Amino acid sequence: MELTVEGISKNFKNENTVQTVLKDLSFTVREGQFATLLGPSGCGKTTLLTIIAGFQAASGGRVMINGAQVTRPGPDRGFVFQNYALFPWMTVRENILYPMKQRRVPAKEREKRFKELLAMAQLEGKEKLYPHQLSGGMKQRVAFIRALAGRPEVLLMDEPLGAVDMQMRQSLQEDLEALWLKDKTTVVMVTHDVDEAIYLSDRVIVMSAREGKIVDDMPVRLPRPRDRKGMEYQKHKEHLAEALKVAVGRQAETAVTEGKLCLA
Amino acid sequence: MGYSKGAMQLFDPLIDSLRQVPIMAWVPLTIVWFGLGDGPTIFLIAFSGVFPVILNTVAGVQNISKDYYNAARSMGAGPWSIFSKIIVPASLPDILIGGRVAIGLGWMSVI
Ligand SMILES: Nc1ncnc2c1ncn2[C@@H]1O[C@H](COP(=O)(O)OP(=O)(O)OP(=O)(O)O)[C@@H](O)[C@H]1O
Ligand SMILES: [Mg+2]
Repeated sequence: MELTVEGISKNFKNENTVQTVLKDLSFTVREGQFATLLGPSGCGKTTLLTIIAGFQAASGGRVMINGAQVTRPGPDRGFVFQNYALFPWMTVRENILYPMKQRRVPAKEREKRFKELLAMAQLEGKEKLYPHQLSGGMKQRVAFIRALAGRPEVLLMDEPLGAVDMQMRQSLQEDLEALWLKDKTTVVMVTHDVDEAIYLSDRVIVMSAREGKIVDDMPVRLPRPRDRKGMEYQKHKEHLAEALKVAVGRQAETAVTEGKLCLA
Repeated sequence: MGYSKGAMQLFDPLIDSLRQVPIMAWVPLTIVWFGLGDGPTIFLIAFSGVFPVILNTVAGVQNISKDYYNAARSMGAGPWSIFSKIIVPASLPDILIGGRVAIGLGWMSVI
């Protein structure tokens, strides 16, 4: 598996102006890598992720899976939504079986995989509940295993822990990591939390507020599970915090030039 | 109709204009169509019920979060599965409200 983002651009046309959100963005994520897109709010992370998913079209460039261009959503790219988007009219069981039924997995295999996933996410006994009967953390885990159920080539996650409060966030990161380690699916995750990025990823791509330009692409080679208080961990954190300053700083720069243009 | 913009633009003005016509105005017309007797009554009851059902269904379908479509599509769902497993159950509450209003209106037109 290899995910290639090649020269992706995205413009949004407002009434009389054109906003360039992404400009000529390229990177490759290799098999089994946990890659994270980090950047200030509004820099185009969600836009990029949804373009990879095929939910919206790019203005230029292409997305390729194993060398073949993809333009529409497909089961090769699983997606975890920030609000989970679990189907409220289906039980946990039905939600998880849904992608397998779409892929015509034989009933016997479906049951086996279902049991496996349920155990993996420690959700045994919850299969008959509806999403509104679950806690936030449980919903998050259901969303994660639902996205994995159809065995996607790559898992795309848009701030999967964004809806969770800070205290619970760290323990959910640990759950997420444990789940991911059992499966090692290729991941592209979006976040704007530096600590979350370092804790979970093999690689952090920092996007600038200005046209989503990549300002840093940092590997994280620390052994898992990671010690948040460790020296190396802290160094990585400092490094990313600096990179984020650059990413945000460019925004101020554009704001200034745009301001001048408006005055003129 | 809630799903497709084109269909919406086509049918919306028609439905809206028909809906504006008060129920009593249909009485002479239906008598011409069905003659005297139970025919017009049944027609009017059914007729007055059609609009709330259609309108609520459209509203219901439009209210479905785009995330549900996208989620289904990224799990490999085809058009039929999206219709039967996503659109219908997701808009069912609104359809049922339409049905309830319809029964109410139907009763009104009996009187
Ligand atoms: N459909 C759209 N139409 C017009 N502009 C859009 C649209 N979607 C996104 N944008 C603009 O594109 C920019 C990037 O949005 P995006 O949602 O990708 O940011 P983000 O990096 O995910 O931010 P956050 O961290 O807050 O989620 C924003 O300025 C936003 O206003
Ligand atoms: Mg976003």
